[in-house]
Amino acid sequence: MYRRSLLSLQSATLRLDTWINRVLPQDFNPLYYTGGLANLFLTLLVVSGILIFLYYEPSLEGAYASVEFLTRDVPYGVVFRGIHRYAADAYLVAILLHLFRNWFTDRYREARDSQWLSGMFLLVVSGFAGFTGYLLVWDERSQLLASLTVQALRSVPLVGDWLARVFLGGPGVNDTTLPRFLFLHVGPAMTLYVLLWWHYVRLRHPKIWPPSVWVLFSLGLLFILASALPATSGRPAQPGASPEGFAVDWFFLWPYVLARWMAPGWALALVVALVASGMVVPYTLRETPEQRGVRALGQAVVVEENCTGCELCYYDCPYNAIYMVPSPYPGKSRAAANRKLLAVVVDSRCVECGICIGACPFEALELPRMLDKDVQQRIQRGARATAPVSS
Amino acid sequence: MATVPDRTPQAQEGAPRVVGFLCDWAVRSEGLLNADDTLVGMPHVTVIRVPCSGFVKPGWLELALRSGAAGAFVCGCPMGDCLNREGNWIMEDRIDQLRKRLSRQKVDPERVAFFAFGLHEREAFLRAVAEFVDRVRGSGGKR
Amino acid sequence: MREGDRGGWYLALAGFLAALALVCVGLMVYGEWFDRHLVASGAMGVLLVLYAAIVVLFRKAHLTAED
Repeated sequence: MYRRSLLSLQSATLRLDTWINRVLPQDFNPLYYTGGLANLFLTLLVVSGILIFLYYEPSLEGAYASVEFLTRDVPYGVVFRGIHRYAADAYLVAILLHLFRNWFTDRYREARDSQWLSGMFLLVVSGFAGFTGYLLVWDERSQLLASLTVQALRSVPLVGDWLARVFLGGPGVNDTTLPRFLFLHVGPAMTLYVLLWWHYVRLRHPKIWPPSVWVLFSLGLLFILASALPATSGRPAQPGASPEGFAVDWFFLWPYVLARWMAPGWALALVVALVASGMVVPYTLRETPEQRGVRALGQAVVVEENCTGCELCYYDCPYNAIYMVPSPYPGKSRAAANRKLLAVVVDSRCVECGICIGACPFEALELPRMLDKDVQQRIQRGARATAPVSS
Repeated sequence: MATVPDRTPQAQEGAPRVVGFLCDWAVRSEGLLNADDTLVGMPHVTVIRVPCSGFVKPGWLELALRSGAAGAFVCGCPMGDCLNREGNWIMEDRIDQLRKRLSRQKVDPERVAFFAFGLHEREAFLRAVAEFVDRVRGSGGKR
Repeated sequence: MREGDRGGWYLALAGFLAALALVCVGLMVYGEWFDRHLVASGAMGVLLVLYAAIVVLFRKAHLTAED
């Protein structure tokens, strides 16, 4: 069932690509650059965030006023605030697109699980940083979100009270709360870059930036949004007030929308359950390649006697699965006799794509179940066969 | 349109042999190939399915030309959509270089080609192959 | 799919968008001069989107190559 729906989702995803490619040149298709788009928005968030940070005052009395000062009196302050606000939305949309696209097109299995796991962590940390961003304005909405969060944390068994205390910096809202929120916003944002290192570490040439068209378009769209719908604060937070509901971005803060229908603790439990099931996605469907209808040609094997240590496969392997090590002994072929390096395939990273075989001019790499000599035979058969007699 | 079956009669009277490589993840291959690896409706085109377009050695394309094929092509996924991230970009580069090498050897570089078609683009793929066959027919596929 | 015959049409459209972009530059100067900052930044946004469209049109008119 799950498998069937994944297959049809894959088909639908690629159908969507076909439509987009009809309108746009192939290499401008935004769906091929969802990760790059997310990184673009993250960069815009960091830049606009630093500018906002220069004006922000993390204190109960000053926070709201400092944001208002930025919005009203600083030239283009409202634009920067708006860009920060809408870039966060766009960032979340981009990473969700990235998640679903890679899920539906089978880019998370086996050797690629490291990217999937780091991606889940990135999603959680991004969502958390987005949520704490709403707290910093310290208007009524921030107050509502904070109190819902505290309720949810308190209902965690055993450590609930302690968690709520850590979140607020004391038993209740106090002078250290907003500096703590500020750290909870900036700290995760920096953590994102550590996690991005993990996300990229097994990729050679990761696509971290979209084509120029999409840089121009995204930046333009953010400027338009920030000017047409300026980001605003609600009324300032009042100590002791119990604010009612607000319009929140449902796709951003949906756990809080849920928290209006169920106990906040259950909303938190739902989030944890979702993330946990997301983490095991690469390990479900442990089926053989035959069951998936995929040919498994075996992981690339280095033919040691032919390897010249030229590093071409090392540069082309998209998953950094090939390492060059000092050659322990000379190769047998003439070209390999004086080699300094030897290629080694890291099995756990190899996805059996064969790109290294195409890169190797010395016949020093093979996919075990599709050997060079067999392919050559088939080529010769195809090239020499006489045209069939008409029937 | 159904341009492909229309070509079958020509194919049978000495149409140029063409060897192609098709990525497993590109055009949907169910019912695309005959039992002897030739394209349905184009028996002069042999297609070898590969796990990724980047698997193809440029030397194999040369071998095909040397062995008597009039042309050789590689078909990968749409640019940017390679399952293995960059197989088709790498292959496109390799073909560019191969073309330069061929023209130095006084071989028509138009005899090798790179296509990029996705799962649902079988019609466009077959059209492109048919056009390619027409092209190499003109440019000296004789041995 | 060659669309050579439509190239001229794409270029004409790109030219029109470039003229619109020039209007946006005017609006940016106006907004900056008279402290209508939202007008200036909005015009800048429209300008960037127009440039994105022009890049696509140039490519579709085969004026720029694949990179």
